[in-house]
Amino acid sequence: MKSICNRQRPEGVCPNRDGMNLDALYDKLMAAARADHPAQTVPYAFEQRILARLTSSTATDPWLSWAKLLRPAAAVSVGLALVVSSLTVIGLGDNDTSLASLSYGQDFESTLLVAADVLSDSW
Amino acid sequence: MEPTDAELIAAVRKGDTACFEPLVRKYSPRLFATVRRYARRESEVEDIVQEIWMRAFQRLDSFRGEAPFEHWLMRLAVRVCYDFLRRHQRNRELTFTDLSPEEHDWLERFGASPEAASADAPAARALVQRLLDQLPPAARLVITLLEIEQRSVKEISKLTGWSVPLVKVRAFRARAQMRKLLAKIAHEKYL
Repeated sequence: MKSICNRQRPEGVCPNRDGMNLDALYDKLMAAARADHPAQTVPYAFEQRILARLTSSTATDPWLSWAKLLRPAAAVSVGLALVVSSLTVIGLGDNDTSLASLSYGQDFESTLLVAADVLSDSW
Repeated sequence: MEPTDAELIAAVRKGDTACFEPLVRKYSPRLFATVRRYARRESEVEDIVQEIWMRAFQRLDSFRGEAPFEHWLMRLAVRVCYDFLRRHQRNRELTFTDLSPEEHDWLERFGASPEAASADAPAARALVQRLLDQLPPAARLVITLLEIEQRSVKEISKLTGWSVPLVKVRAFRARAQMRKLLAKIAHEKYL
């Protein structure tokens, strides 16, 4: 029985296939693209907008400078905390100093909680 | 007397941002024309040109002044356009039914007699734009620079930062992809 389907066409591109010269079509379309010169129009006040964006991005933000100052301060604080904690750990071996640090700790706690104590006394 | 590009750039480098404005005014028309080859919507075009100027300002220190500022700026523009194409890659396949009636008519006329179909026709321009939209970013860039802007392989190599052999390989592949798209349309048309 004879097939009613379309015949299989060969793969690949060749001129005049499907009744159209593809090379000529390609050249014609490229010529069309070359003939089309995009407009050079610039939107109104474009330069000012660019300048405004540039100045806003380069303007110094006070919070940014504050954050920049905080960064080294944070590093110094961490270093100090490490030194103090290592000294405390070394000092734990010695009984006298550990007692001293214990009393120091108690003093520190009572100083911190003095406001709370005053508040509870007033009730 | 108007200050030269080199003088303006030196002033901007010293911190006088206002000196950047004459450069923007002078080169923006050329940038807009270049970018309009890669992006269709005006909002996209404006965003891309803005991005080019922002990058130019940030990288002004890398401009050594050996070549004209315009060349340096155009290299930057081509790279920003390429980034844009990569971000907005279209994956949908073009079919013959997607073409407008005018594009159909133009193809019909071309099929009947290639000389009868004018290259100046808006339908031909729309069709080529539609085909370019289908190409991968590298192929579209190389076809635009080589076939439409008619630049040399060496120039494209400088603009894109690709080696000369790479430009040649990409150009060969891009033409093949373009012809494949045309073959597909022609095949669907006469099926």
